[in-house]
Amino acid sequence: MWKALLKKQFLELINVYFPKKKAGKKRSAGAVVGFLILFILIFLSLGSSFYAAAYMLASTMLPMGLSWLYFALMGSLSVFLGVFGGVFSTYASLYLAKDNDMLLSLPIPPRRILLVRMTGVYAAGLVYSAVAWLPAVICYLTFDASPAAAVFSLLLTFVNAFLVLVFSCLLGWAVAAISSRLRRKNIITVILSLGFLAIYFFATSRMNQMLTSLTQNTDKLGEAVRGKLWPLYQLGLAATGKVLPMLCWCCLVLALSLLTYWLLSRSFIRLATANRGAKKAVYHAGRSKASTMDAALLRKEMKRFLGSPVYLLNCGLGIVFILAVAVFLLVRAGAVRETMTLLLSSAPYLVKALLPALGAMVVCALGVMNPITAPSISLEGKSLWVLQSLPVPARAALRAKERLQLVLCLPPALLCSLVLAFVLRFDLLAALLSLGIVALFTAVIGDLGLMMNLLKPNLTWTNEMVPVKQGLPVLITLFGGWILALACVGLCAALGQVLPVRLGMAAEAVLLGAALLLMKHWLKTKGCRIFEEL
Amino acid sequence: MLHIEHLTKTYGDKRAVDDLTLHIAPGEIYGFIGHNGAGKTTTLKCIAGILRFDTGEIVIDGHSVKEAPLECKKRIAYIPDNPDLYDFMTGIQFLNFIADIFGIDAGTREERIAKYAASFELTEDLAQPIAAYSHGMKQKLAMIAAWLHAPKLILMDEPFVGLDPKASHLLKTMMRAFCDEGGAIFFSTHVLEVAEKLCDKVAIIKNGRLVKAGSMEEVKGDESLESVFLELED
Repeated sequence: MWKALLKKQFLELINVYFPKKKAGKKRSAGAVVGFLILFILIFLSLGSSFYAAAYMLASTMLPMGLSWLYFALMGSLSVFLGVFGGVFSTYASLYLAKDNDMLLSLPIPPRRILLVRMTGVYAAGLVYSAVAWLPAVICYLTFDASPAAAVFSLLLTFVNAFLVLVFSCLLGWAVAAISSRLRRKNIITVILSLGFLAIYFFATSRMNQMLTSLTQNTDKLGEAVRGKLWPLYQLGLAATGKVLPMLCWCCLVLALSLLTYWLLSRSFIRLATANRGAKKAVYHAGRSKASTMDAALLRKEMKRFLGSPVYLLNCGLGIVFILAVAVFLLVRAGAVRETMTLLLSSAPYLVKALLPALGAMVVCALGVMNPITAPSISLEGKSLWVLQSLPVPARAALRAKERLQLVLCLPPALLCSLVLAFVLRFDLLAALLSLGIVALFTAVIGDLGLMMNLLKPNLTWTNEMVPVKQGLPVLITLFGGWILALACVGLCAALGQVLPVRLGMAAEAVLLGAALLLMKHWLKTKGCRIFEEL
Repeated sequence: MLHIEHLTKTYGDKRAVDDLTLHIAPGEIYGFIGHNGAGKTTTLKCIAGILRFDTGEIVIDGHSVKEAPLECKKRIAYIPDNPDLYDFMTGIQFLNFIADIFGIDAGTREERIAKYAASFELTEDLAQPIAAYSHGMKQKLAMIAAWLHAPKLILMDEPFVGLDPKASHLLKTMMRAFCDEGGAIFFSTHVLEVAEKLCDKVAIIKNGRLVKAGSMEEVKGDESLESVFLELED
């Protein structure tokens, strides 16, 4: 039974990245290899920033003999990152899976269902925490390559992921416990998640300051950790290759994991089967309002987006960031202008001229954080038959998904670009070009997400978190979008060597426009055919 | 109303539907019976334009499903065996969505929603999210949505599963009334007693191939439909 449950969980995970094709067809080896390469590239690009932070700490702490403090700090950071990575999804993956009722009806002890679900949370936590922990280990080994430290610190990658599991599960359990008592669960989930996100960004915004402070007050910090945070001290010592601290740390993590499992298993059935309905709303017939097919389809997409906290938080957060940047720029316009003047005073002419293109890139990069179209086909899931059996042209169904992206993302992106142009005093041509680039880029990202999802749909998910958070189309759109934003500025800079930068920006806009037209043509032809045959 | 000619649909190496030919005239309730995996759902999905088929032709009210799928879909309503509707909508939002897709004006939709929702005793629940509906309630909502745009042909996959006896009786009455007004219904079922009493014609499918079709009298003769079916299945 245990093996069958694990196999189910594993198949679910595999299906996220390599969705099953139509009956009778195998997954292509090329797709598997391509995904693995992409995954490694993403891991390396994220890991390099943590390596830089680790190097800063290591170069101060290791010569002082405070290797344990270095590992204690990097360990805490990796656990924090692991918990943050899963904060939006743990509640859904533990308690809201669509196969809950089916599994609970089988002769399987509920605690075993929970344990299997926890393996999924563990796997996600392992990946997220390893992004910060492994660079720290590699960095340490460049200073001190002792075999014991190498073995123990690598083993701790897996041990620490259990700690991530503990915190993630407790957070998921708290959200489940709170939302089981509340009517407007979607709003509560959004608020709790945003609250946690705010804490995270507050912490990361202070990271540089904290790192500097840490390196300046290493002695005092070391004493404080050794005296008051004994477990962290043990973690630090364990990673440096000490046997007894390793045993202590493993026992502690094991005990916490078992305790969490015991705590969660006591309430699993109650929370997993909690009445998810709100107070019964009674229908009173009123005046109906007819609308066009396009309007109805757009409204449907909007309802799906706003009705799902998982979708909203994972694919719409960039809207909040863009608006926050716009407000910040307006409020601190003077300071921003002064800082930019100072920064650019000694910069070469090309960099100064590139400022509008760089500004547009920042807005575009923030906009990439809204891959709303990327899971939109997969989210049709088992209700895809509705659209397929209605007289809805495939193009109209796809257009509604593109429009949702534009309706939600274009106004804030344009607003932010306008504010940027006003605060940094771009000339009219530069302002218009940056607005054009941002508008075209937003549309390109929408179409890119839709194309990726048509090529890699997953209609058999049991939890909507799977296509939204872990789907390959979302991943490709995110990282592809960021690479495209960088490439756009790179193109401007390259053209700026031989042409006026404004001409470079115009060329960038033309290329984005051409790419958009090609994408629209693909969606209109091949995309529609794929959608009809899903 | 519905002409299926030499329909063949394969999944990989498996022939789910094999050279199926059937004709359904206006006014007919046509039952479609067969064992699990015989090809009933696949046939219904091909007619509804959800699945593409390999060879053959399906013509609905003079329009080919291959050549003019949208024209065909305007004339039909399809109700699957497990109606997974939009959980993020309320019942009334879903019905309005369907009405918008079919371009039904406000007055007509209000009148039809009121009529059918009252018949299925679902009026009060229309403000509830579909996520909170039971299987039977979803089935009823799918029925109302099907009747909402006054189709010419209704395709139903196991329509009686999940319905309470009252709703089941109502559905049978509505099916008869719909066909008496010139509509046609093609539905699959495992409830042979219902098929025997309700259907004008019946088709029996086995391993994707049509084994018998015709009027109820022609198919069953003096025996019960159940015994004919069991004999053919053996």
